[in-house]
Amino acid sequence: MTVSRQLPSASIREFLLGTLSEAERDRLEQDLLADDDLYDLLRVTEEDLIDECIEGSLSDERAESFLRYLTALPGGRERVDFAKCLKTVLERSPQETKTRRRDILRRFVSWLSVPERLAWSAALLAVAAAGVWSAIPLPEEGTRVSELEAALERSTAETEQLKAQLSVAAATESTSAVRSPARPPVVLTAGLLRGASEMETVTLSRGERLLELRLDLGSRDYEEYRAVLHDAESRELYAASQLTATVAEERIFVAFGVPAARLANADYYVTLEGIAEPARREPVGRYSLRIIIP
Amino acid sequence: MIGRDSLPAREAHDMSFDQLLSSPRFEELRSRLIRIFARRGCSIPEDLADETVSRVLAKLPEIAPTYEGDPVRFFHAVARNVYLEYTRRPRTVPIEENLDWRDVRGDEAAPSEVKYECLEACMGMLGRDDRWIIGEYYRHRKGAKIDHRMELAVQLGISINAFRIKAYRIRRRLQDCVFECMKKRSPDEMEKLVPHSKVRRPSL
Repeated sequence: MTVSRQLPSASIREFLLGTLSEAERDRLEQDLLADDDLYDLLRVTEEDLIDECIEGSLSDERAESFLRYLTALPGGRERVDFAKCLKTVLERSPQETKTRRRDILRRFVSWLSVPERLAWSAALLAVAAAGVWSAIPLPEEGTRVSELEAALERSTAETEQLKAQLSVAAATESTSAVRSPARPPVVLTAGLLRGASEMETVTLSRGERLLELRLDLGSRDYEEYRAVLHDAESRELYAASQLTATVAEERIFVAFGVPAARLANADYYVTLEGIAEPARREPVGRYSLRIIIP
Repeated sequence: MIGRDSLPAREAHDMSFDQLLSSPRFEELRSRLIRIFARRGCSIPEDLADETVSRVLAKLPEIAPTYEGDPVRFFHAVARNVYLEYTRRPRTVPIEENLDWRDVRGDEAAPSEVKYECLEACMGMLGRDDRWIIGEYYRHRKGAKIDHRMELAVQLGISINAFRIKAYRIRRRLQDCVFECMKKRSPDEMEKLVPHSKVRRPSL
């Protein structure tokens, strides 16, 4: 059963404009950390406020407060730039849009070599045959509810389908790092007597946030695993529970994401335990690695 | 009394420290912390977010086994301490902070023509339905725009927030597409600046 609940839109807006009292801000910050819906709404409101800044419908004082916040965020300036661009493009008349599309296409074609032009012509003919581009009428003025309802329904179905595909991909490829870091996951093989010379060396760059490890299993013997990162002195630094085995590229492994902030130039090892029963853990393997941060 | 707009409830659940600190939740948590520090006026919100996570991680072996309650509250408390320490530090102003915010808002900082081209190409790649939704969502200006969105949401039988989130997700997809396109087009920008450095253009 879906239960509807209330979200404080006005408070989010005031938070972003910097006009909430300290107590209210504190409360909202805690909610933002915990509540996904509220955080979604915060990001939506950010975009609305960017638009309002561009339109000039915010007072100078409020616009300054918000833009100072926004430009402190990574990519904040680019978002303002994008919003200006979007506004201009959406406000263009259909005729202007068509002319511009034609210009872009003409310029694009002029960059291509003859074989590339032929290849693109074939591709465009195929698309035209399917009627994808030309069959799209631009929406008329006014509200066409039934059309919009159908659009929303199709779009929702597409979203659901994508979600399902994502779940399948996550289950078959990796249990972690859906938003994968730039580097490929580091595969570690268990070895109790591995010497320093056999140790897997990982060079972390300064900008990296997460190191994704794949702890090779060989066979899948447990439903659930627990991984613990240790330093060379056997101190426990970081642990993750309720991990599951995954099969990909003909390997069975447990994915274990370690925040890069937890790592320094040093040697580490990870112990992996299988959870046989709620209160019984059994050792599965020990995986060594050396971290180098230039 | 602050007005609240309804959304279907997601299942409420407290996440464990491990869940919060594991991918992909970790990046999400980090970006929320960055926003909190940015809104508190910090000039280095990313560094402070990392500092917060780092401190929580350092405390984990000590507190995790016996910690009761929502771990998010612990993160928030640590973030507050990090912020207080930041405010006591000698203030250094990064170069970016000296920039006039009016430059960001004003027309003088107009997007480049390449960006327009990228956006139009990306709009063309959107599905018909999404293009229709985004067109309707951004139709009109100021008050009329808000009324129009309310009407659409009411007629569709969804809350205004659900409609806003839907439009936002399409906008983000467009934005990501434009940024990606700009990256691919950067050799072209170079060509404009250095006319004889002709680089073969990648396909759009």
